[in-house]
Amino acid sequence: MRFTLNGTPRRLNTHPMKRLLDVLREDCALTGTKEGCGEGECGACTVLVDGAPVNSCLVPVAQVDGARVMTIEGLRGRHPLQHAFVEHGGAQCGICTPGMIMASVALGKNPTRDQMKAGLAGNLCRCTGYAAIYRSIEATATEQNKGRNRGDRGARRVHKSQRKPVPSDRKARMPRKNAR
Amino acid sequence: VELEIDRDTWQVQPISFLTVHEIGKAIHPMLATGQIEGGSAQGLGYALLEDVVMRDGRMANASLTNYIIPTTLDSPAMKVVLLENPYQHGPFGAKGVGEMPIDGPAPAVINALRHAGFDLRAIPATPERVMAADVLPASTQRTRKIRSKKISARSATSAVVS
Repeated sequence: MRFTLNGTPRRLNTHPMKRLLDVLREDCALTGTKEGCGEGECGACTVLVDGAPVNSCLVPVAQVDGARVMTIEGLRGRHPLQHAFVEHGGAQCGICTPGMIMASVALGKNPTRDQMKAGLAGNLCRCTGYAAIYRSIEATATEQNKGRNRGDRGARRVHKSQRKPVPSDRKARMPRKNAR
Repeated sequence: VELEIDRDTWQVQPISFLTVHEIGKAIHPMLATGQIEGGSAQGLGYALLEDVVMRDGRMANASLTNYIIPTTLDSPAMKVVLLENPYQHGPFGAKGVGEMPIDGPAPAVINALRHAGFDLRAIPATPERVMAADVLPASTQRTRKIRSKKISARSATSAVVS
């Protein structure tokens, strides 16, 4: 089994029907991803597979062969959303938080309240009543618009294996610096 | 609390929620507010969704698949007002805040439904119960129908003092 985990290529010898959640937590020792219900209801185990949020408790690891998997560890503690969840009370007990942040990452920049509600409908939170989570996401958008929080460079860094190859004709058309 | 009741499905959707809490001194106002919002969302779940089914002394619906708790789509916009009044016997003037927010929403929801003419006497106010509790006389039903397909209902939240 080969896949890219948080930007690094991984090769694993494991049972193909093992849940992605268990592979991440046990085989890869990344315990940031939490198990809530184990039946796809609560979203605590949300990770990104090729950029899309999935419940890792419902995905057999065979299905991510060749895919890009991003967990909460992939944000390296430097993503503006992580900072905003701390600052604005988006995390209370914390069990939903890794999944909530991964689902929020998938919302993209400056989501509206309705987009947040729709995008986070699969992530249950018992503590916050969701309002503080919306405020945290909105604060991230505001901070980004202000051009602060440059700390997320690490999160955006793309491993060379994941970089899209530049089409050769485009490369040829790109003018070299100082070329006259 | 402000609710909307769908006349076809009898589903009750909370639209907005206002709550005032007298909690002594708020030591960390942001977390206290978050705690109250979370407790209120639980209280709304208790009022509208969360039905414990007991069978042979055991909970028959002990999973998130059939014991429904509020999601983002079930939680309304909430406004929390902290009424600070330092309590001399509490630590730094504080009182408890953890469990109390769950007390207000269910009475508020049921009061709103009763104002709108639903004779509800049990929670959760599931669509089945709301439909069965629709006891307004036909004349009032007509005016209600004309206004809109959705019935709106309102009540003052019960004041909660810890």
